[in-house]
Amino acid sequence: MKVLPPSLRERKRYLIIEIITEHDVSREELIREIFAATGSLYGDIGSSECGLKLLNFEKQKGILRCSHMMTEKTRAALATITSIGGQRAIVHVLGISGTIKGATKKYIQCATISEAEHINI
Amino acid sequence: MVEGYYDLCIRYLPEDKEAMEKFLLLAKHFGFKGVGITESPNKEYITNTCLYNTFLDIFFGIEIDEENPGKLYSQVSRGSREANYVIVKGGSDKLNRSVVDTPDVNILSLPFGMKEGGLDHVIAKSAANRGIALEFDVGALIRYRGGKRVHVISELKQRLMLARKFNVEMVLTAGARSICDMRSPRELIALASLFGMTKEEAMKSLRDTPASIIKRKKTNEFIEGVELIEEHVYPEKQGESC
Repeated sequence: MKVLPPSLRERKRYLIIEIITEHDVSREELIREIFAATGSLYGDIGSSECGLKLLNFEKQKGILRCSHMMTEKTRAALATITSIGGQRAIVHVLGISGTIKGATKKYIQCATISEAEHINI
Repeated sequence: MVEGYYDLCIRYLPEDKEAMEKFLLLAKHFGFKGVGITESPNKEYITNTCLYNTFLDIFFGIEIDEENPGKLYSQVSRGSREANYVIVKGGSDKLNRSVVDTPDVNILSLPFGMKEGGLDHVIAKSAANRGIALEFDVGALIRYRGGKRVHVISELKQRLMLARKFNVEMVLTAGARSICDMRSPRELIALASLFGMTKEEAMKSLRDTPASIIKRKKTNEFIEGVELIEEHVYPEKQGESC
């Protein structure tokens, strides 16, 4: 299958998320929790419309891709997450970007420089 | 986006200085300008934990849960002297009516899933007349799953409809009971959109209404030994009278 030209691709937004927990969580646990939360809030149809995909996740910060019309809905679903992998957690959206490059440049790189700012509870 | 968000209904009091520091750092990280804690601490606690803090405004409110209207009246008047603002927990219809008739109440908080009670047009009308704000606790949307959340969303929708119709002031809050229940302002706005609140309404209920509740209280207070002799006359008004 050939990759669609950019004009025919679905429009996306990239949410930069930060996980605030006591101990670090794994990528698999986070993905399971995100889909459980969207599934219980919007059902199967609603969550498929969100088009979620977790791109990269390291040092408790990650980029979550979603449909460009569903950013607020995705934000709400992320806010309903209370625990990840059995420990209490907060998912905090640091910002939204239109490109992966922008997201990485603005939030992830800045974050690694000032790592002391990351909060654990 | 302009800063200046407040969350006034945090039902959690950090135990010691360290917990307080963590709590304040998190609130600052989330972009709050001030937080209001509705647990009543003693004076020693305040001097020990809050004095060093300069980057965030802390307010202490009082939450009153009292069934008896007579006792409620005295508790509210005592609470309003001691705390920055007063929250009263509603319940049955009779209690809610006496709450909206009590002076010095700032925020009315109603529980979910009451068979006899909740918000009706009578309470909404008198709350609007007396300037009592209504609490919209989105913490219930975070904590519950399934059927209970469905009921909470429809109840919040009903309350929003009445609040819009009678121009009742609204206060949006996460209703946090621990540090893990805290949510950032943008997340609260997104959660409020689930039951139909627009972004403008949500921002007003996170910024302007809480700020005015705190300001209202502050203007009534005088330092000991100072008293108001006459109202200040503005210069342009003086000019008109001449």
